[in-house]
Amino acid sequence: MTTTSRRRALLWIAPALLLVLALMYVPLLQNIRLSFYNWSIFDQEMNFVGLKNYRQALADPFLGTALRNNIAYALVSVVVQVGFGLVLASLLDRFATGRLQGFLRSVYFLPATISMTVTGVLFTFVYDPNAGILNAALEAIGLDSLTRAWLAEPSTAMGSIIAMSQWQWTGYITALLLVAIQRIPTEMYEAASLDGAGPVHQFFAITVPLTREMVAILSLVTVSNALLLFNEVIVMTNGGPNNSTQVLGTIVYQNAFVNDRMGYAATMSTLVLALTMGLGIAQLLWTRRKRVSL
Amino acid sequence: MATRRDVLAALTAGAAALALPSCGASAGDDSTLTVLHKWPEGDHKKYFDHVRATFEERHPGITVEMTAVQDDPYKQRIQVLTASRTLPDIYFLWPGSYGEKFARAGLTDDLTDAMAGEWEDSVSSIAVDAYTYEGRRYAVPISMSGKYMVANTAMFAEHGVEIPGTFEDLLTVCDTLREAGVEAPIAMGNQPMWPGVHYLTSLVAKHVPEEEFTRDVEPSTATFSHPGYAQAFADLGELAARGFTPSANGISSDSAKAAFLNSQSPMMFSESNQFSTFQEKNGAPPEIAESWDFFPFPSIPDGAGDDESLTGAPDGFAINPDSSKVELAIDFLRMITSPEMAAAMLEMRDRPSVVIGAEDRVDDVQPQLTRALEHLDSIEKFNIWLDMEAEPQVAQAWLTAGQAAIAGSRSPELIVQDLKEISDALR
Repeated sequence: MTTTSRRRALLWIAPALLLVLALMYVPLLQNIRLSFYNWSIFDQEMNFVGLKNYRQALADPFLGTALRNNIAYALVSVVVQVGFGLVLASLLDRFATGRLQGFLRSVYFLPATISMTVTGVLFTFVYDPNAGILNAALEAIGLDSLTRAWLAEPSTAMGSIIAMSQWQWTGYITALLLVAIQRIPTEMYEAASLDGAGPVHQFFAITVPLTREMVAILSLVTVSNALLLFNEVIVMTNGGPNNSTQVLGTIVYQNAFVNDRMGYAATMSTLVLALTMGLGIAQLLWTRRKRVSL
Repeated sequence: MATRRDVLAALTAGAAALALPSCGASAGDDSTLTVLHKWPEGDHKKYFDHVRATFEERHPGITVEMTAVQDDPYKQRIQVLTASRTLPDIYFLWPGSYGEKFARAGLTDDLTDAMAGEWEDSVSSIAVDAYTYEGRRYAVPISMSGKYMVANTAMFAEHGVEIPGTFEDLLTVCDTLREAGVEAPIAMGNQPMWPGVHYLTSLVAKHVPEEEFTRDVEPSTATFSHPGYAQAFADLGELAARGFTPSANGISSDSAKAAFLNSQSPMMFSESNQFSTFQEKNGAPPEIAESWDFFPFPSIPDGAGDDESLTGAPDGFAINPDSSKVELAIDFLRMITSPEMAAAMLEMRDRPSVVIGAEDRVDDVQPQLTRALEHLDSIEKFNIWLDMEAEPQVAQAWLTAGQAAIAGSRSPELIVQDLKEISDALR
């Protein structure tokens, strides 16, 4: 590229670059700066407190609960949405063809098109202890002992929220993985079956390695979504019962908008940022090393 | 080389994009009065549209720009506007420590002199007192609401029970109803957590003397040493076990209300501003519309607190002191609290106004609502919702405490200790 055309190109991307800088990186830096201050909205003065917010945050009992919940959500999501999604996609690719495949893909994809808030409200009914269909279903098959107030008991509330998200997003991830699988040349499977490899062997020897990049990106997206979890919790439990469903998003929100501790909330979100970035970088490095190309 | 046209195009695109986020900020010109409140729904909107139209008609050249957002988003919105000091001319404020923080920070115009005399005398004095901080009025109340137990009188008659006078009676009524096969004598959905706090507000007021409570609201002086607190949690736990919908913590408040409306539960802790929803024209089943009554939260004769007080609160508007239109804003609030607008509020929103005698100007007020208004007039003090009265972190702890007491998962003494720890951390 000549200097002139490079300069011209720069000029053309300048507006977008400026926007990204102004709307993303400047607030990000401001947020980090704010995390060293105490600031109440009623008091326009910001007081510098150094690392006090960080010390307090690391000792905050809610942070532990939140991290545990976010990590549980991330782990389950990666296993179910990406892991099970890959199996489902490969089954769809293999055994469902033509219209049936299109139909099934739409069926699986459908939950992802419903707004998260609507899903949250919908599942509050599913989990309703007296009128919910989950308890009714358990009773119908004689498992009365398993019925409970799913969202009201600290031991089951977070699990119930996680389960709902799997219902909503597995189909979406499956649809994306199906595209990746369909890009694999069929000759590879033909050659493998001539060599005597069964469907399971083919899955692990061909499908898994050749979709690794897509799987990696989807895992990254799933994990970072897990760390940004917020809507589902607010709609279904608001962090309760007994704070058992607090996640990073809800404690940041609560500190900023309920408790009026803007500086502390900024500290929490800086920690979330560090965590997400760390995970993202690690994941990208790991997959780059293991990349397989056709 | 980059031509001049390229430069121009790029700059224009950039400038246009950067200008986008800045538009839509609050209007600052002198002919627009900005109002922010928390009633976006149906009838409320109709009423506020009526208020706006009337005001604009009486003040030619003035436009009223009204924004309404629901409860929770409202808190967020007001927080952001406060932080950036771009509050509208007139904005809704909850009473209690929530509103007092705004008054203390100088974000509310002092309305003491403006209200003194005729204006103040025309509205309910407990409502005015609820919006008073250090002797100064910081907001004008417009409507008010009290918590009452509502009862399905047909179900009461069917099971041969009477309206309970004391808390003990209420528990006995619950037992009788349960024995007769009513699974949930009191419909309760505590999933959003405030319903539990509304019970606690009443119980704490009856069990803890006012001076102790006032001291404990302020984290720097709080001790939570009075045994009444533990008793309040114990009472709530008892009521939950003997009367509430099972697993109340997992049920939404709407489902609980539906259980009352469908005659599954004969009782519910409701609010006088909800009474209109028990009318047939507002969708209530005829069985309920024809046979319901209300009673104040039952008495606890040996409680150390105030047995006569009522849980409830007014709703009011504050004026931004930095506004260039303070006089106009005062006119606006004066108009909302005029007898004709108060009557319109009762008629259009079915919402009790704070204006004394507003109900006399409306033809067919629900008889129950008329009696509730009479009762409200006789009350000397409101117990403001605990989650609005306490500091935010402690308020959060009260919400959790309600759930713990209802689930029976923690002893009353430990729940008090949890509260104290959170409050002490704020010293």
